[in-house]
Amino acid sequence: MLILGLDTSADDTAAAVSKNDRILSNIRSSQIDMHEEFGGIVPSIARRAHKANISRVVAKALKQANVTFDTIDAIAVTIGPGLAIALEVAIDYVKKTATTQKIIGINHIAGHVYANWAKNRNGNPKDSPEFPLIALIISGGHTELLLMDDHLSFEKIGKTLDDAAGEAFDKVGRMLGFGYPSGAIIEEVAKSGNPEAFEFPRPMEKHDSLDFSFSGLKTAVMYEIKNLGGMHSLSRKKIADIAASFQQAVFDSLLIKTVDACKKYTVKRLVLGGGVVANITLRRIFRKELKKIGVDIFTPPLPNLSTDNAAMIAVAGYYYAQYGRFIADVAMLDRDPIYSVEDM
Amino acid sequence: MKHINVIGDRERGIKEAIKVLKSGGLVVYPTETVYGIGADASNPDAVQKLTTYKKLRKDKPYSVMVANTAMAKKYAYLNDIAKNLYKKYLPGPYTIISKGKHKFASGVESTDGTIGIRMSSHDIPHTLAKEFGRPFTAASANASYKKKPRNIFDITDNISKKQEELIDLVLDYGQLPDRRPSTIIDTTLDDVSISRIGDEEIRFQNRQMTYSPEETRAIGEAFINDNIKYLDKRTLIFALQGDMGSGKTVMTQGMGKVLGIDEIVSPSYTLSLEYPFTAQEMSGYLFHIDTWRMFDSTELLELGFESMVKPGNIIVVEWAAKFVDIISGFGHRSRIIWVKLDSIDLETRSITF
Repeated sequence: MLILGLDTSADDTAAAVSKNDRILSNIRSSQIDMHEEFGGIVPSIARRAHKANISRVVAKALKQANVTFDTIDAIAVTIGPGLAIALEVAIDYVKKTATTQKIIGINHIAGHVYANWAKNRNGNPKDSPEFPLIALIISGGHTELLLMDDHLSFEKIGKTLDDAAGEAFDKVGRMLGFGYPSGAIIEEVAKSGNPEAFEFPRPMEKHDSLDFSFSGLKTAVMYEIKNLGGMHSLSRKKIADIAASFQQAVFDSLLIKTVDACKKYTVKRLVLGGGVVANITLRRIFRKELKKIGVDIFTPPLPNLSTDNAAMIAVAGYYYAQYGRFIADVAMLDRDPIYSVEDM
Repeated sequence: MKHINVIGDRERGIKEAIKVLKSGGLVVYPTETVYGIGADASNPDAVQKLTTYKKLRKDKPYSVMVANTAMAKKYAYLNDIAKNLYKKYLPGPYTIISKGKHKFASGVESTDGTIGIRMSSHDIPHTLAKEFGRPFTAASANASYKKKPRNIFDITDNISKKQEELIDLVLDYGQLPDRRPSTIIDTTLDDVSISRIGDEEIRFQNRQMTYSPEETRAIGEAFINDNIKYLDKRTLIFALQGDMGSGKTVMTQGMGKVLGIDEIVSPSYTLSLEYPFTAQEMSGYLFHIDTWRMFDSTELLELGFESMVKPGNIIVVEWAAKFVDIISGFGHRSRIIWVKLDSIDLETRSITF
């Protein structure tokens, strides 16, 4: 089954083609449009312009997959959560272009989870995560812990009460005098810093719930920088120490609740998804600590599957299709900006 | 395509490369990340030649390589954030985006006038930029969408004969270490001039101190309780201004509590989140907008702000001082409550409204 995946939930206009769970192409507008040469994305609504991009991005995805639109069997499109006016662009596109294709409305968070089931053209990797499992989705807009007993069955057991983990990175980056986005530069700079130089709080550590909170940590970093005389008087060494200590605090907070969740639900598998998973330090810390309690870790197996993308939407679409989750009438396709993954 | 091994023959390589750049040609050179391709960024013909090589659409921008901060300043406006990055992290594997001064050939800056600048820590491009005396392009040397080149074969194996003929000179430095492409950082978010909410424009009448997030939340609750009576005829707009960590989202959570919405989180990434509510026989939407990542006022309008302004709806705008004029413009159809949040210390906030 050939599936066209579409995602316009946030900054990127993304389209991808999969044959079942095998990814044939995975295109994002930021790769094509902006300073592509050295990789990366610079968002803004004006530049985002999903509307202007979508036909071009879809054409590119079809071309790279070497298929035509007419041969597509199903279109999997993100309907939420996300920015309403952005979600509408892909949905309107589907309404205008779909002919015989079956339509599948995908939850963006479920997409991040299913990035872990993606395979390359040749069907590798062969192994996929088995159930039950815990999924931790960490990105610029989301931080959620999910329990899955089977495909498409999500129980939200933890979530952020304020800022998302990736957002905390961008905001602390701003305080340290970095531009936007700053996840990558914090990771880079933190390599030469001492993660124990500053004692930042591990928010929610003492709470019984599996919820996260990063707003207080952000404020604590802000006060530390103020105490040191402000951003401009920080030495490179101090910045590296703050970055490393902050990063450690975020990862510890994520880790504490994830370990609690695995123990509470006696689950032996963890899948990670979302843009923050691109951080190699995070992967290393999680691998090391979860091994201690006998939990296997899965991360999206191919490049460009952690940050927002449409290949994960296509793969999720494949599993939705297995369970007959089609939208009977394309006219019924609608956005849901606060769509919870539990409500699907 | 001329080929010079610059590990063995550095001087000749630099000299030849300068000649090629001056005559509008294309030079492939090593960097600390991947192989780049250089064209004189001030020469329209040279840039056109590069675009032909890359097979790109015309409106796609190129990053440029500079020798030092002084050279960058000639071609771009460096704000505080940019200066900070240049001082502390350049030369290095970063591409810093600033507002351009429109001194390059057309097609180098992005369509909205920004320019990505590289200052490489690799000897070859650094020396080239210094001796050439002005910026040249820092595009990666692969044809578009092909493999990022870490050796010369990564390039030549993936291009046509015609494309190969467009390259005038290759400065071969052998296999480059497997490093990520440069990290792109946009500094223009901070160019938005933050107009202060002046006491002349807006009359603040009340001031309240809070000593915990719970107390800030309670003020949010009181705001809704005191103003919900206006909702049947008007929109309620809460225009919040306060630094990062001053409690803007916490206050909004308090408002949500009265309205039966208990899952309010920061909308920074999504830009706007909307929650349907029914409370005290009123129903409508609470729109929670964070303008932190927005560049200018048109973006607030593009977000559909005008269509949100309907009786029954509540709109919370964070970083409202950026958009005083636009928000004030809706004064006849809405009740606007301006709120300033100031951090006094870790827990204490001063709230004026």
